[in-house]
Amino acid sequence: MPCAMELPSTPDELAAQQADSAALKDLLKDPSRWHSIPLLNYTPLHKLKDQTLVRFRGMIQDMMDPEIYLERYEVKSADGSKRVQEGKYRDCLKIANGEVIDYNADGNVHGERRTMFVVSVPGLNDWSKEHEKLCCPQIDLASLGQSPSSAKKRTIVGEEEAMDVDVASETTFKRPCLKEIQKDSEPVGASKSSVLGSDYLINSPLPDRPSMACMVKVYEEFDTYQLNSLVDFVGFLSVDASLDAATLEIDDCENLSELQAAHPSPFLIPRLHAFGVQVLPHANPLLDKSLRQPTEICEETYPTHLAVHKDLRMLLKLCLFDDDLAAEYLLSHLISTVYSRSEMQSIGKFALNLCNLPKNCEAYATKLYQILELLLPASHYMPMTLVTLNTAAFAPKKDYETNKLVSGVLQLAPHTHLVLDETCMQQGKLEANGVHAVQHLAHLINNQELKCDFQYYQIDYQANIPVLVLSEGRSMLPSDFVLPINADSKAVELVDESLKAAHHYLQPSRLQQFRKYLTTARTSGFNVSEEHTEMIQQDFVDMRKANVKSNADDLHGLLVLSRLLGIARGKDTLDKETWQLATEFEAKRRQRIQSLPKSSAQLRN
Amino acid sequence: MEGFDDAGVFFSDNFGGDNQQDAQINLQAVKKKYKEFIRTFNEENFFYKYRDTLKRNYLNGRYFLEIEMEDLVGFDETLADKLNKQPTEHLEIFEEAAREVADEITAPRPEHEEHMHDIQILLSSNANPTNIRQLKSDCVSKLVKIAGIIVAASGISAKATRMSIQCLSCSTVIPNLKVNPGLEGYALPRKCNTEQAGRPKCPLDPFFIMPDKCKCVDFQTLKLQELPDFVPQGEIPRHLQLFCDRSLCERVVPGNRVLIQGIYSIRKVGKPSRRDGREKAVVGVRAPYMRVVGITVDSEGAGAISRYSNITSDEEEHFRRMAASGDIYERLSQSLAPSIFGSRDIKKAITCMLFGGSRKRLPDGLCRRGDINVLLLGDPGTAKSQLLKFVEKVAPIAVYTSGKGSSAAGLTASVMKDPQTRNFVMEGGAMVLADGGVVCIDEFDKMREDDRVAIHEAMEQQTISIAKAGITTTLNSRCSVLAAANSIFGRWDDTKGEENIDFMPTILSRFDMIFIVKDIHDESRDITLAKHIINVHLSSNKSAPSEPAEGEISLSTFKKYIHYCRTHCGPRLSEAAGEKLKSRYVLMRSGAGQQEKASDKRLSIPITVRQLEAVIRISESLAKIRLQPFATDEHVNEALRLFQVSTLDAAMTGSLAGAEGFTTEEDQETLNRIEKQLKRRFAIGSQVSEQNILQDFLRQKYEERTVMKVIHTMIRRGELQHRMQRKMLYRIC
Repeated sequence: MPCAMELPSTPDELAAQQADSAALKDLLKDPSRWHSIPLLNYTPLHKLKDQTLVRFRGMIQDMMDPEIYLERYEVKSADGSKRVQEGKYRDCLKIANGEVIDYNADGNVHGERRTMFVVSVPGLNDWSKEHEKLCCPQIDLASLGQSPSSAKKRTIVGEEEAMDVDVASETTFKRPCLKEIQKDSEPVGASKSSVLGSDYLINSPLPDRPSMACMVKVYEEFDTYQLNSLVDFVGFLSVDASLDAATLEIDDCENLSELQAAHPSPFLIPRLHAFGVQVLPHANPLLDKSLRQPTEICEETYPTHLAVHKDLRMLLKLCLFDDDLAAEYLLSHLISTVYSRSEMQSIGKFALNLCNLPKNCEAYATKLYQILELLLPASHYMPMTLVTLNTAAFAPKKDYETNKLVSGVLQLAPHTHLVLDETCMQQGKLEANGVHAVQHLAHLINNQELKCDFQYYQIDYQANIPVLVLSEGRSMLPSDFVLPINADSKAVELVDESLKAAHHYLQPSRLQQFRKYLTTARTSGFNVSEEHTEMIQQDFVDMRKANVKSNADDLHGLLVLSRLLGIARGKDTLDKETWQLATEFEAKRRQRIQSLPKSSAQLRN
Repeated sequence: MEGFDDAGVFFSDNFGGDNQQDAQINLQAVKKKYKEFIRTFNEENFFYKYRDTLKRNYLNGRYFLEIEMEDLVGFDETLADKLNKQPTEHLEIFEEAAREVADEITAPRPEHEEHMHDIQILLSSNANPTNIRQLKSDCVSKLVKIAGIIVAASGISAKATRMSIQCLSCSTVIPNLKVNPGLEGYALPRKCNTEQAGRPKCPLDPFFIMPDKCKCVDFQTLKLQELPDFVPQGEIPRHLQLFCDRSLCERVVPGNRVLIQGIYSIRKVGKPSRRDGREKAVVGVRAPYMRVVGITVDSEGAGAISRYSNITSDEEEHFRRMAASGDIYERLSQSLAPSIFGSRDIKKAITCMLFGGSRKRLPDGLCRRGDINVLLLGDPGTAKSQLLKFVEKVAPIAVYTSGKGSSAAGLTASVMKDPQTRNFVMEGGAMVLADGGVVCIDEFDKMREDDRVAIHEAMEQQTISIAKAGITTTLNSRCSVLAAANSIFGRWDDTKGEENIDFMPTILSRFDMIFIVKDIHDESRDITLAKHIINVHLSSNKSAPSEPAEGEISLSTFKKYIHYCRTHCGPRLSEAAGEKLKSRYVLMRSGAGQQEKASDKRLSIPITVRQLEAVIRISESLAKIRLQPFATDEHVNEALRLFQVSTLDAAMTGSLAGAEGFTTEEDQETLNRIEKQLKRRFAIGSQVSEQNILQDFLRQKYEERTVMKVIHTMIRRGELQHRMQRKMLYRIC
């Protein structure tokens, strides 16, 4: 869709275009328009000027209360003349030397906006990051020299500073702003003693894989955003030193740490005034049209769905000690998603517990994860040790002191796979935090909901995090499907070689296929026709006759499994073949569970 | 800078005057009206509500007066409307009026007390509160009422209402400046205007405040958070800052649920600094806050202030119609967890439980509970847990907990040591938290027996006593219990009958209804179940929230209806129904007696007065569902039917034999034999592996369950003790 209009490059231009908002919306619908905008995620801050057009992709980690700002205001200059200035899409009011803002002018308009605390997608794997970076337009420093700022008569210290930093190398970029803070805090006095650490301010859900944070201010429909959703924002960057809480004068009645948390240094957490928003259905950059894909990837011939499925299954089988059934289940797990919720059930979840891992394979779980990491856009590996359970923050918790939602490991974007390694568990004591951690994990697995702690009550947030538990025995956590691995003794000996071979097999082009395949499969729909409904009913009745213990949960499981098996094979409706495959797999799986050694405790019950 | 003498100036209306004069006159007229209101408002010509309260309050040194908005509306509608729309101006006049009236009615005052204190006017109203989310800019500087939970409170500080400032260079004093109420500060004048001949002009910013010449009041800032049930899915609860002054300080603590009457206002956030002599680029952000003029604290449990207590008159009418329709009971029970198929009687019983009977206070001060307790027993995979989860969602107050992993301390209450202050603090457990609601206990059988005993008191007396770490107190836990337990064989075994369940009868008898949920194999039922499940999976493909089907009641309406019925209706048994019940009770007792004789065993649930009370409670709840004042014959019939299909059936089939006291004599003998043998072979002070003992008795063809029961009993009596992670047993005496 060729459009004559260009995206605005400054807030003022945008304000001028605002009259024709429909055209602007159309403009933003065209994904190719997004291509040329630099991604804040991958562009060092010193390369960007204040108020340039940027994008930021990430997960909404926290949402602040709406605030009221001056949308339009009158400015009186020294000679008495008045002019009206737009205040939208900027933090600092624009005034020239000697001009004064008339706060009480009749023409002033107040608007409402809301700040979203966005962090770059937690657990985003290296390959996705690199790919996004590749798609991001590079900024050459020379282009910054254009559009001399003197014409705009701004009296902003931050800009001078940004210019200074331009010359400095990337490593020193943090220093000047630190100095700035110290300089600022001196005259204000000793009350500044409690300074919040930058880790606390950035609030990464996964502390060992730090995210980048950005405070995005949205002006429209700010009630429609959902916590933990993936969003791509387009807007104007705002990095002005005066946004730092350290430069603000504090009233007695205001809470210092709260103010600091709400106004961190813009060099640590930049601000973005968004006018374009796109909610991302998945985190896979390969399938995102709004990113400019490098040409060589687009042109490649794409093999059929089935062929990819076969290759991928083979790969997984190789990694899972030659166990075909395990490969099928793991593949189903990798494309599973909660596709609907009804009352208390989350339909489509596929929490898998691969147990009976051979004992003598050193660090097998981490090695398996290394393969999964290459396939999935976002995932996280967590060793289930007593120490992590007892010490790590799992669910987000509200800190009323600073009014922030302090993040936890489980605050992950939809479709971020969580791999729990129970093989590193030792005997020992689980403390209060550990008990809560296990409860949170169990709640997440059972309901795909995340309980956030608001101290006086808890609120459930819907999540969509597939959980894979690797364990030697049956896991202590609940799961939808427990599958004991039937390890081939030869394959166990050769596991290191197999995994090496798998890495070797995963050539870039093949990897791209697998990655695209997994995301496409996850987002595709599936149906059951009328005749097959009857077949399922009959099967269920027979199943109940054959086995007294089978119940409604088994049917749920079968339906989910058959859906995923069908989707994996590129089908969009259920057919008899797939259904039989699912029943067969479930029967095999049940048999394997039966043959597991039983503990004395279970016997007694 | 003027205005300190506003009050005393009178104008005449001769010339029509300009606007300002108009305003002045109006203010005088308005003040007169307020004074009249305080002086003359009365109920039935006798009780001069506000005049008397004002006098009493003043003489007791409490300088405030609480006004109900409804009274003011009744007195003068336009005045109340003005107060709603321009609260800042009108409250000031109102307070002045109150002060003058207080002056009149307390005169003559004793010596040294001639000086009048200011009177604070507090407002309250019965209007439905709005939510923080709904406050928009059109509410600014209007009187609004919102509900929320206090999450933070500052210390008390002082704020000047009137102050004096002095110029540093020329020592001119500007006295008695009025400072606006609320969080907005006072901007000191930047220039001194006094012109004195022969002196240079005063420099910029010459004024300073004279603290000893200021008049101050206490104030406190609070932070109010939205109630959790107002928060839409995926949203973060919103906050609002509150400003309380004078007598409103220290009325609430964090954690309180409150209704706030206040003036919605706006203030600046963080002033920009004025370094380097020039104003930096200003960050023009403001935040809303609320000037509080009245607080109501939720005193009756956590449920009195919630989204579901907002019932509009339209809804009220709707509820009345619902109650009058004949099929309301059926409809409600059908709407209970519609995704769970079948179990109609269980759903009916749970519906009764949600509404509850009437609590009775006997003349001697004792209370009989009105809450109905329900126990679901039986096969796994029969959606017991899902029913529990649904109840947690639909009951206005509910706590869900699992018996596995929650000890009695977690259920009742516990004393904890606060790591920071090293103080002991008491933490209410699930049963205290659910006061006034339902506590859902899943996996009741997995709970340790000692813990189950601990909730005896909670279930019948509805209080929880704590005597730990020097704290002795009693907490209320007026809640219904909905518990689910599996059969001890994991699956109901008809051939084993009573052995399927292993509870103390003392606890069994505290449940009004006990259902045995069996997973019945029946082809047509299975087909319907399968269809139902497939539909759940398919309908969800559309990913739109499914609309309630024909005749079903939506969850939020259900919840509101429960709240409405529970707060608006407390039915009693009618006389005729009472007579009927009397005869049926006698029948029931004799029937149970016959059964006992026939089977030569004692029933684990004896039919006693407790069961009679249960039937009465169920009848009352049935009347409550229909909003009727008396439980009639029809209700008693249905209650008896429910009781029949639940507890009586369970008892009659002999499937509920329990532990000691109610075990048959034969069983008791076995138990005694095992205990004797155990004591004989187990020396005092020695330690034996539990597994060994078990194996030994098993070889002698004793049942493992019976042996374990003996061991448990002995542990409870303190004769045995577990050691080494419950692997070894140690004999103490």
